[in-house]
Amino acid sequence: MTFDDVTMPAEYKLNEQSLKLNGAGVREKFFLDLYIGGLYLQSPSTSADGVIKADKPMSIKLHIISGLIDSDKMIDAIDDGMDKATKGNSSQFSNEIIAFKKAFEEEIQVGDIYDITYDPSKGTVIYKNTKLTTTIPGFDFKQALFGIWLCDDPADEDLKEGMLKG
Amino acid sequence: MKTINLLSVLFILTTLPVFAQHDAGTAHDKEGVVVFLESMPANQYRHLGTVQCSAVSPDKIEPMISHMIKQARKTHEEFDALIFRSNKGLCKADIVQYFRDPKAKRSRSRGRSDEVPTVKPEYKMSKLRMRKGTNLFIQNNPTDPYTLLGKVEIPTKFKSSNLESLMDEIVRVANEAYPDNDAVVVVGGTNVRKANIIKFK
Repeated sequence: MTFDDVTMPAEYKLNEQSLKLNGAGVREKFFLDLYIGGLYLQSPSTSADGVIKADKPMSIKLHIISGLIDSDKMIDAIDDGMDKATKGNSSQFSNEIIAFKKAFEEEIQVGDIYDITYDPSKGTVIYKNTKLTTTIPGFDFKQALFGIWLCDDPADEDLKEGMLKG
Repeated sequence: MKTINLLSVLFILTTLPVFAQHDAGTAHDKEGVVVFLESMPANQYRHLGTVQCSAVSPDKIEPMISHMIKQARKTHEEFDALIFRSNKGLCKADIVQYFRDPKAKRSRSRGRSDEVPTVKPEYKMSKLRMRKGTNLFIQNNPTDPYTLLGKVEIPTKFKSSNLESLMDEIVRVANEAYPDNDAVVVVGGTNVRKANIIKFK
């Protein structure tokens, strides 16, 4: 799958497991394309709820394509997204959110790739350009986090639809 | 020999048909600030700085422009116009001010808050950037007289909200429906999804 000259890999290796690209799309905001997002699963799915509630290995890849995304905007967007994903109850994850934001504190550049992975044995593990940045244990947090892109009020409806092609 | 060549050049130049560009427009203004989108000021100005949108920004064009004006006012108390940059959506703009006539009275009212700020007509004069060979007026009205050929709309299946993609698509749809058009005038409040197609007189 190729968007804005960026091809999302068909496969993602999470430890020893091979995850398949379930679907991908473009995150649009401010009337421009910000990043390409891809969802990687063990087996195809079109169910947002099914993916959110699955305690199985999975990953979301974000490929930055706009120079207008900076660390501050990303961090503000995380607050906004978590609030929507938890229907206003994000405070229960305040420590986890602080840890998650740390992954985006460094300067963000066009071409940067974030892999937000979930491994049931470890929790949520975030990589920036293949380098491990943060590990956050807990299945509950994973559900809220993946909800940013897949909940009923997602970051971007078209991106959600793209990720759930199955 | 040189004289003959010079005469030939002059002959060619004087017999070439004159193509009017029709790229002059009147840019829209909002809250006392002129908005240049896909166009540039026709008059000289000085650059004061740049402004960027915040993470939580509106998803409709008109509110987004208001948001950018508000953002610009955080750092610049007085400016005349915002020039939105290409390929940056509506998230980045240059803050500009026209050179003042020292004798002229200031026209922008800073008195009662309910007064509508006035903008000098010459501040709104704009020159279009052509888009794929088409005159595209967006947040802008053509200066030259024209006749309306018809109206077009981007199909609902076209989902992108990327400004560049929307502008390309409205131009494509317009050129397909009215190949002999002179310009495409985007209808305000439609998020670049509707346009009037015109021919200059």
